[in-house]
Amino acid sequence: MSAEIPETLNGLECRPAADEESAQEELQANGCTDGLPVIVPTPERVRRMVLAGGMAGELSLGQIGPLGGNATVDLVATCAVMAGCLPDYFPVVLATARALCDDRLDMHEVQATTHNLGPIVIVNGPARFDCGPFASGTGALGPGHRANATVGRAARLCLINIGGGRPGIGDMALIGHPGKFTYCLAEAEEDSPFLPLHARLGFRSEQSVVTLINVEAPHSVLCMITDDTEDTADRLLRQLAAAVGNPASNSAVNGAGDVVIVLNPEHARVLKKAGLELAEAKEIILKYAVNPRGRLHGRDQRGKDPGELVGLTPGQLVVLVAGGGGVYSLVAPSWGRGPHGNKHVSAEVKYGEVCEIL
Amino acid sequence: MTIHYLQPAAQALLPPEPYRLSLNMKIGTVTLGLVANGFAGSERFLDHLAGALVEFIPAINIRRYHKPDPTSKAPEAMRQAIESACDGVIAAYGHCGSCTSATIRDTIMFARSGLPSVALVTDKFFAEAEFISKASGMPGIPTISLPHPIAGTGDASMEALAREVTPVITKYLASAS
Repeated sequence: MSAEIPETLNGLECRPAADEESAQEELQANGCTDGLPVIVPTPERVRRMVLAGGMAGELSLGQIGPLGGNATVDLVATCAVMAGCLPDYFPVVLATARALCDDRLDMHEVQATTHNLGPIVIVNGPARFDCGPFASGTGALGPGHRANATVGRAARLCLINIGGGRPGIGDMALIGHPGKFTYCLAEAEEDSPFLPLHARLGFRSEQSVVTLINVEAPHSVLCMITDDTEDTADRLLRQLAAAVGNPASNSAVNGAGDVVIVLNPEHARVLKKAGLELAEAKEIILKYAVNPRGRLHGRDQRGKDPGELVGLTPGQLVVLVAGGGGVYSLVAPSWGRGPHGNKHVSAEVKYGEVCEIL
Repeated sequence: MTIHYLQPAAQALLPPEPYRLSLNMKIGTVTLGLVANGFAGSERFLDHLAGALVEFIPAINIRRYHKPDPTSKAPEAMRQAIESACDGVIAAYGHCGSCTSATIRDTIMFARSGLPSVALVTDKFFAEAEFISKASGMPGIPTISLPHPIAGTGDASMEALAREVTPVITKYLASAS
């Protein structure tokens, strides 16, 4: 090892490799990746990433289960480099990592379950532009948007490397889902007729916030808007309710867990035009999204009134506006298990001068 | 040209703690707590195991416990009740991802309360069980691998398996691993 390269960086082991290709293969062979090629986390790249976060590299953000590894800023930055993040994105990655360390997100149980879950990262506030840009329009959850793709991937690499979430050992999802590679989007706040998600969760609009929820892959919800008839909004709400209350989903079976609804902007405007605020729309969705217990699968239904209606509460519907204009919105159901019942967790994105320096 | 890179894989923070408990079943009557985690069939399997244990160990009391949620650790009140009433614990069974993790952590929790304890886990989840026991700081917690699946195999199959595994369980309880 040359004299210039330390053997450790704040406790992280610094390994030699013949070249970048060899380092890449070692990272793959040691189970440190998601299976895709990564950017090799050289000390220089990691230091640059740490600098962009404005926090000391050795600072611990907490632990991520089930391994319970120590999520230092250095280690999170290493995962961000590997994911392909630009340093500008790092304040958002740090906020995401803080949420992953939050006990209320139950990452230990979520990684351990055989249910096919992963954290979706929703970005709100000015950081969408200042630390991005994060896409919120057409294909926001799909390929082609670097900040979305790499920040979501950094979260996954943190879960693998700090949380020990390697398939079949620490990540027991039976089949998995594509969102377990990356699952990040921003809310289209400027294209929404409603208050943004983070403002509805109690943050100020000018704050930047990430909200994480462990959910299944998104389910597409079709609703044609062909006219101005009075029942258009009701048809939309019934369609959303059909996905929320889908009795094949754990959250519907358990009557527990948060469910994400991504309204496309046209669907959002249909609701607004009908005079509905989101709180009212949620109430109507939940009225339709109930199942009689006798129709639901599972042991929890035994010995109970089969006619009792099982559903969620308004606080369990996490609604945001994103996507292009058209006829499709999305619903992502959840698990509804774990000590905290599969709830959302928000964390403020802290940045300022550090983003402008770089 | 040689390059250097940072090794990203974290290590478990908890240092390994040895498991050194043993239960003497030859002196007086012992009370075993059988903890069903609530996964499908766990109560029924423990019904059969209770029957087999009574036949195998003449001086034994069995106490049954039922966790409210298989995905989470046993509640503190249940831990206290078991600690005050039992001499040893059998937790069953790890038959899915989250319930295996919780079963292993329960078993370690009972061991840390001073109770010789054994976890039963099906072979599909044994690698996870070993990982969780290391991550939780007690890699030597007694864990017995059972053939997967058990749930849905029927009473005759469960009873035969319970009889087969009973001598193994008692051996693990009696000797520090």
